[in-house]
Amino acid sequence: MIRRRKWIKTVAFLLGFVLLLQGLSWLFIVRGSGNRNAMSILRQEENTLDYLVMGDSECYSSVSPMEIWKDFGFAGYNCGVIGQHIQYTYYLLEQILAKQSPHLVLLETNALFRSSSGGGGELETVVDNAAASYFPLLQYHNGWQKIRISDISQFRPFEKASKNDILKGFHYRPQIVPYTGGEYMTPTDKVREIEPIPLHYLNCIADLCEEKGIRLILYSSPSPDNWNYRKHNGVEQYVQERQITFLDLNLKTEELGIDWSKDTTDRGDHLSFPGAKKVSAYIGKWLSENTGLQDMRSDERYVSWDEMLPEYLKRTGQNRPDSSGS
Amino acid sequence: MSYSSILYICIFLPAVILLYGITPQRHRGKILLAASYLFFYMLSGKLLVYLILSTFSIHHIGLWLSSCRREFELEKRQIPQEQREPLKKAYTAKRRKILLFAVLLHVGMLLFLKYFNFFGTNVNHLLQLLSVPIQIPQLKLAVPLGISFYTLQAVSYIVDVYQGKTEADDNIGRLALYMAFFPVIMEGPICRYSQTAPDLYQGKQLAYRNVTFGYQRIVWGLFKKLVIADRLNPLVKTIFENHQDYGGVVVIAGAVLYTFQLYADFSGCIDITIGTGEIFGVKIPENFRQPFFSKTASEFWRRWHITLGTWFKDYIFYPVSLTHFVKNLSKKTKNRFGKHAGQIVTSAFALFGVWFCNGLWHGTGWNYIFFGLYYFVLILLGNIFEPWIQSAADRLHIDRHSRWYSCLQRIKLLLIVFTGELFFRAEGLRAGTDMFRSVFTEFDLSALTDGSLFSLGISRADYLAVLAGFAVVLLVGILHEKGISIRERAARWGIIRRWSFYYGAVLAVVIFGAYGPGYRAVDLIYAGF
Repeated sequence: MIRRRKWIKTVAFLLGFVLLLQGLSWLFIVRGSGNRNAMSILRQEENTLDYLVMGDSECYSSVSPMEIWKDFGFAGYNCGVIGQHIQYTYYLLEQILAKQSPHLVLLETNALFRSSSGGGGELETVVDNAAASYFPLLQYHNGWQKIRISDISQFRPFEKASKNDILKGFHYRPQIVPYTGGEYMTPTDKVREIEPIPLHYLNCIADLCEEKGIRLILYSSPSPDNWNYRKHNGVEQYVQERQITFLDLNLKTEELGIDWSKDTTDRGDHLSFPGAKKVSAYIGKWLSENTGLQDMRSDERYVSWDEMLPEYLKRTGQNRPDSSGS
Repeated sequence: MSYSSILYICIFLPAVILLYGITPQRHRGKILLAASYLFFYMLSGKLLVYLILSTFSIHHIGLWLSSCRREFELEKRQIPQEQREPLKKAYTAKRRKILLFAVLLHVGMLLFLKYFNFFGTNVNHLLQLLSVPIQIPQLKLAVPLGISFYTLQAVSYIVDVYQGKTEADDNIGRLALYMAFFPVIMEGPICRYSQTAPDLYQGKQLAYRNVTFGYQRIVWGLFKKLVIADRLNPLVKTIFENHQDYGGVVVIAGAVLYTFQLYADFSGCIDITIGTGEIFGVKIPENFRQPFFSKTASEFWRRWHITLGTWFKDYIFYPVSLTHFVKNLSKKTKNRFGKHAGQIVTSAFALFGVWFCNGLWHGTGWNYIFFGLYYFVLILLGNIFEPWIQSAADRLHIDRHSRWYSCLQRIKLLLIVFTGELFFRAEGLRAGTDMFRSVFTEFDLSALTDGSLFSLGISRADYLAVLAGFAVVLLVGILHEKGISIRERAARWGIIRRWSFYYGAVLAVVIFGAYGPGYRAVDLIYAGF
């Protein structure tokens, strides 16, 4: 009898905890923002994004959606998150697709080779992401830092979204620390294969895109610090099997006009703003030539994008007459 | 798999508990062993073989020592009294050789895997200075997880068997579990065979109280690790990895906050370890006892990483003190300069051994050796001057137990600890020296007000969370110091108050912990040693 009571108490305690987590998850999703990019995309007006850019810091440092909007009129969003694992990308994409119907997903490939400490590391990330998909509080808990008394007293969800979202998920990094290491894409037949867990989630993303009629494109941002030919071969092997387009921009640095003395912000790890402008211009041009994306600049639903453009140019130092954007 | 991960707390551990609970008692030890090997394999992969080899070797050597003793006892009975002494000497010599072989094997493996490249680099520098055209190659060596911890456990087992403090275990499963028990393998504490092995393999019945108390202790550990240690990590990393850019007050902040980070990280992990042991009815020794309440460096080390301190005391301090050389020297000094001088000679040799090994054990860098010798000098000086300090206090009518004197002692101790940790965390001895110098040469209080402290990778909100977290840790420390157990008290509360307290504690970790997207998981600091 005592034993049964203890069991009941344990189950009741755990159930109460689950309910608390769920309740707080709702509260935090509405009010806070644990992850700026991930949250901001969920605050975008529904079904307004034609393409998404996803990945880790290589992603948010390389493609500026507002540059592409300025030159081509394609409405997109950069959902890059620091240190992102591909597992997280999958769950985030699932969430986004509940609100958006993009035609294209551009997936940066660095996260496919993100190493976790030891064999349990990848599994740990899988579990973390799965748990966060059931209890969003685990993902958005850092929102407590942004909750204000006024937020709580006036129940106004998503109020800050449009004001704070001029960069559309892109990270503006004007600092320049040159890369001096020389050529890094030396051709080789060696292959760095994608590990089983990232491969599984990459397949999940590809399947999800296929199911939703979204074209998946893999791209790798120029990064001597992170990329090499073995990784290129690993991704190439995968895309050939699944017939997916792969744009390895590390092999197109000359075409892009990458100058490592000013196009990197941290010695070849991430692109600086001038580098990102070059990649954004290339991606925009590629999208206009190879996909059926429409120029939305004259569409009245996108008036706010046009309104944000001067602010974007100001933020990125491009409103000065002599500015080259750096 | 980290102890603070959802995988460990919510999947791995409950699965082991479940399997343990449904398995008949005589096989429960095997479940724990299988779980431990799985845990180790998930973290270190094929390097598991090192742990298994170590286990096999100490099992075999233990039995060898034991059989030697039995042989001696048998032979002793069959020979006349006068022949017994030579026989004893012969067997002692044989057993000593076996012990030496065992210690050299295990410590040698540790030294080779962990220190070969460090020694190689330094020898190469020396050879270069002497213009000798020989270089020791640098090897790519994979170091198994927890080798520094399980090696000390292996050595303590063998020495205890040699000394007859414990019987050699013929059950290799029990010994293997003692060496590999999953909550202990990564960061200790360093257990003794006689304290933990019997409990471990006994397969005690799961008790409701043990499980709930165990999980409560785990939550407390998570609080320290995720709310304090991991939140401080970006700041500490920024200061120590870019030390050239900082000086004065910022370096002081770095040293102070790193000390708190290390304490929260290490003691948090030990709480998770002890909590896990508690669930299975295994008493794992405490490793911390409010160290920041200490008054002297020796007391600090009796409260900080306690099991390492006692290990060094038992297996280095006493053996060194009891060597013929030290005993003779101490005796001669005592006869010539008095009792105090004799004691100082003994402690100087023994303490040097302890602190040199302590520094080296922590890592491959001169800053670690400096860290060890820093405490050696401080503790030795404390011992040397103690009679003079006491007599000065008597002459000045100072009560050394008074509150104000204790307060001054605590402040002095904190300065000693922060300085030590500055060198400990620095990226090398030169960096440590530069940082220490900058405290004086670039001291400028304006860093406290000009916003410098908010540009180090953590925000005002982070500072607030850390501060609140530390206030809680301090409060709990004061209560523990007074012998008050919060868990015991809470267990007596009514259900609403009690559950609110538990929910509050877990939610504090969930909401204020530094984890999830945007945060890089921070490895346990001591797992790297």
